[in-house]
Amino acid sequence: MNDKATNPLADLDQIIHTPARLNIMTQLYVVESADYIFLKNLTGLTWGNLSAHAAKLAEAGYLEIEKSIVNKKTHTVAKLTGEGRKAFEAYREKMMEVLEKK
Amino acid sequence: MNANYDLKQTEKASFKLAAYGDGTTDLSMGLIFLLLGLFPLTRELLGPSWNVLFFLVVLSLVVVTQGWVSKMLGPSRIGIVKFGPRVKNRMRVSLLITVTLAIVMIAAWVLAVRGWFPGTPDWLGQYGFEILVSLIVLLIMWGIAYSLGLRRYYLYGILLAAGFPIQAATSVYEGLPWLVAGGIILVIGAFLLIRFLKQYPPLDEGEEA
Repeated sequence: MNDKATNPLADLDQIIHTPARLNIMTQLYVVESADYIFLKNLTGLTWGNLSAHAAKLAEAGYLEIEKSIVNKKTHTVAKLTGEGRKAFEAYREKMMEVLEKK
Repeated sequence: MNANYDLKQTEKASFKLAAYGDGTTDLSMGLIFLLLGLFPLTRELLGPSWNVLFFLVVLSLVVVTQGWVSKMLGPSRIGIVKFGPRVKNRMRVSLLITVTLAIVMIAAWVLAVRGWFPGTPDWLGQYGFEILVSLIVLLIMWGIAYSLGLRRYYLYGILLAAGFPIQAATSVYEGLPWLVAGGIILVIGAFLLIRFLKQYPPLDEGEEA
């Protein structure tokens, strides 16, 4: 049996519950928006990982990704959507609740 | 990977990197204090009015250059970030506090020139302005140091706050405390800039450093 009673982590948002995606969500939660260079520097992810995990978050509706061309180079800016902020807050609350349970 | 998920620390780390990471703020602060240190010397050479004009022109140049260099270095090396209303509000409050303290300093200067209130002790009448300005400078610098976790600003606070009483109480060249403080801050700024350039090479999206 693997329900909420035996496994309190079972109903955690699995989209966020991955170190790389949690890292991206955390960095974006404290700012309004950030480009991929800033996110790469702060999360320590590779371009490939950053891009793949950000796409996954965007697919879930948590992230808004805006691509543009600046000086003939791609420039990508990411920001959390309202839904993304709510999901992050819920995840954080749930995680704290689980970790603080004795 | 960064495992620190404390939100306040994360916000501070982002702001520190974006606003103070490249060392240009320290460099321009160091230059401004060196300029203050040279102020008495240039006053002798240029006369009071031209000296003030010279000071303002160089000050503007330093501020504009710092903004330009920071803009040239930042986006390609650390990226672009926009902060939310919480950080913006905090910056507005800091600005308000700094302006209020500047007004207090001007009021203290006027009082010092006109003579303090009757009954003010002699030592306070003589050094009251310097003591007050020192305390305010210390308060501002330590406030920045504490709120942003910028430990070097504790040292800057001491260096700059010490300048006023030393200048008032000793017979050394009156710009010397500022020259020393400016020189030290400039060296720290140069070190930070070199470290920043090494740590954050220019990146194009998708290109590994």
